[in-house]
Amino acid sequence: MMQKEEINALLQKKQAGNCTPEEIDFLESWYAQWNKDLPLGLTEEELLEDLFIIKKMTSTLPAERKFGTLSQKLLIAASLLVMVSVGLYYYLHSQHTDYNLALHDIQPGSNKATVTLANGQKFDLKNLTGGVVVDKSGLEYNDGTDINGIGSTGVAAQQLVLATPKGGQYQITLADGTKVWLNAASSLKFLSNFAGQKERRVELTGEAYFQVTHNAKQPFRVMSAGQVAEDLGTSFNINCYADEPLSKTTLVEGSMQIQSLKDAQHLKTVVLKPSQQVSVDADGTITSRLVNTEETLGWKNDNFIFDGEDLNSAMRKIARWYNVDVVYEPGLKIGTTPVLEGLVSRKSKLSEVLKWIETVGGVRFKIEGRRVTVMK
Amino acid sequence: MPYKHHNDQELTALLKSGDRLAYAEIYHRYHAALYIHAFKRLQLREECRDLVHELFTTLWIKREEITFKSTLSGYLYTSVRNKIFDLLAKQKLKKTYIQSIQDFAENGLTTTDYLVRQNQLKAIIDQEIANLPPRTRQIFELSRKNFLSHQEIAKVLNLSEQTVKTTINNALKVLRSRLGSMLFLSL
Repeated sequence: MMQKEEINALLQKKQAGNCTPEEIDFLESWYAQWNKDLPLGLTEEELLEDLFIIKKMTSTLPAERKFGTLSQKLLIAASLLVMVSVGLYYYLHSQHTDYNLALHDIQPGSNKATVTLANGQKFDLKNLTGGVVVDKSGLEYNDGTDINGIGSTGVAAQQLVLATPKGGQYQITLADGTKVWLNAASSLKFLSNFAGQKERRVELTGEAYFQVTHNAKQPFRVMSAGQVAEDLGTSFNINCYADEPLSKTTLVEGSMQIQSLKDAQHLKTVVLKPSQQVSVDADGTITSRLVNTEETLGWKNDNFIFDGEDLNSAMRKIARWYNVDVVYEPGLKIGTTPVLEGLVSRKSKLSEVLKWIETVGGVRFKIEGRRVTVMK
Repeated sequence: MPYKHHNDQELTALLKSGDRLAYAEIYHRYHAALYIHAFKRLQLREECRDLVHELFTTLWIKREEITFKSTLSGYLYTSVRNKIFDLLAKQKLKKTYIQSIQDFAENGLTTTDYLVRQNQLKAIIDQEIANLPPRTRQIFELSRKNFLSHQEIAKVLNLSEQTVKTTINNALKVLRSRLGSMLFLSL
């Protein structure tokens, strides 16, 4: 039997290039059958990761040997860059996120909005407290600081528009004390002063949660595509994004009524009870069901809560909050499944949310710039 | 990309003249196969990544001196084997190969013809690729053999040209995104 020491000596000779032809024949013949029939022993993910790292290492090539001193310095700098990149990769990877998702990660949305005056002047609202208030001295941040350049807007009643972009949210207290939380990609049109009005009428696009200061003499009405929602002493949420198939109004507390505008012939009015959600479709058809209002208000409490939600619907929420476009790989079949159940913080980075959906939803994602692709 | 249409011999000649795109194309065709081969032997990810990286670094730096005795693939496969032997000589690896060499010394058949062994090696690497999970293999095959036109592939696979086009594009998209498009040497 060949001894361990002999084998080691033989390998040393091979490395030094001192083997006899017979020894080379022996070693190379052994090599040809060594581990030949083993399975690879790497998952596809691991394999692609390794190829990715090799690519990263090798992409600093080709390096020329004719380099002068300066070039050598550059080469060292490039090597350092590779080391840092690989280190970063490992760092990101240690967070248990897929490398593509982690490398192209996107931060969550934040408190961002604009306010537009009746004369068309537009102001960016800073992320101070995430809220503004309309009071006698005009429009200001809710900690009492002035909004730069906006001046006094509280004296004369004028129409204001508070609007959030994709990836933004904001809160406002209206002149009557009604509080409104505006979700991403939404807008609220309102009067800076309701005095002398028969009603307190606001117009909504997107999604908002209202805590209305009840006043039977001056009803609070929310106009949105296809419906009017009227407060009867209420907290409620309205989701009426143009890209959602249904406009959904959910009563949290108190009482309210919904009127569908599209169904003019049978002017339908529905009075809601707490936890009741009324949906109005494009034809004006009203349906109603009881829901978990925690889920409906998840966004206001910095969460995505999915309670048997289909992937398409979840991805629309993600698109708005992370300001991304979502595309589906051609041929990918997504029906009403997978159905998502669970809670993820809206303060998470995009990769974390997608990773969670990957583990529960059986799909994969990639991020390129601000585009998320859903893949099988 | 004209480089995809070059065969290995043409690429070798271009490489020797210092053509970086030819180098990139060689890299594309072979890096996955070489890594897979090395990993199956050593089962050590970091060492094998370094090994493939070094191999391609050497290929570029010494491109003018290297004599490609047989084929480009022959050179690369022999190189990966030599590098693995170097690692074995350093004895920093799992010792399972010792047992394997002992067994081979008892019962194995030594092949004395250099060329037969080289062909054996090529056949083994081909077999390893053939045994990959289907999608990984598809990705690999595309990166290695994309000098075939869509029409030719369609003929071989008995599919419509459009189907092949879509499949390839999707596979490449997945590959590019997963490996990071900016990291591709020449796409």
